[in-house]
Amino acid sequence: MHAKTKLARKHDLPRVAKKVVRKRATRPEQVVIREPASIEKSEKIFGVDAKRSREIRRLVDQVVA
Amino acid sequence: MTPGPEDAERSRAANVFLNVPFEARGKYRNLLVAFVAGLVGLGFRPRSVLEVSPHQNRLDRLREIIDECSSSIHDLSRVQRTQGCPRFNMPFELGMVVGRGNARWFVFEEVPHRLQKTLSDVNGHDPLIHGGDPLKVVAKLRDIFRNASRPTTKAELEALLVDAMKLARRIEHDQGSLLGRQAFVDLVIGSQRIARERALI
Repeated sequence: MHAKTKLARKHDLPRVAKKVVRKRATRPEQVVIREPASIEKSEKIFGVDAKRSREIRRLVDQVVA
Repeated sequence: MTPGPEDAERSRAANVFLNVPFEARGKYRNLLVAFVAGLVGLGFRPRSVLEVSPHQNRLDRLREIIDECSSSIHDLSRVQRTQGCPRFNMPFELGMVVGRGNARWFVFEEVPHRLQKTLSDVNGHDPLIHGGDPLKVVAKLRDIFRNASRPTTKAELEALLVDAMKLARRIEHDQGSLLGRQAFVDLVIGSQRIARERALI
């Protein structure tokens, strides 16, 4: 006999009542962006001047070369 | 020209406040780079208290930065004492975000179930478990952030992370540490430039 059926009979309950309703894993709702953040706007926000911008580009060139 | 409300709103949507442990070396240094690279690769702009210059009122500037962000990330995995003292900045900054109530917030932890002991007030908000692994950080970020204009694959984010790690080493070589205003800005904008090179943004 199936374990769940056995348990249901023991407690005088219908088989269906002993079914376990599994809790679904909750996934947080996604944060969606329509337009990616622009580099130019980042430079403005962080107060990056032209000289610093060139310096960052130089660093990036060393990495992606 | 003064930015209009639409421009400010668009910028706010992209800004994510990063509240993570700041350490110059080791695991938390790598996790910081992973949070920055992951967010940038998904089209978002990390913001942090590291932006605040020593000449500014830290708390006032922190409030301003939080208000400029539509969402935030809080890594509460650093529970060890530093020189005999616990560090309260991270839960404090989470409290500021929750208190202001105008941003989506996500909590990261290294191990499961510990948050129920360290901060039971957030029970009901399942933390994202990164296991101290930068690759898991970018994978979890991909679960919660999405660029609608371009789907980003796990492999693309991992490749960006590898380059961001190299960039971080260059910045550290030039500036001594990642934990300065200039270093953080260089890491964010440099990662954005790499992401653009890879056609992610």
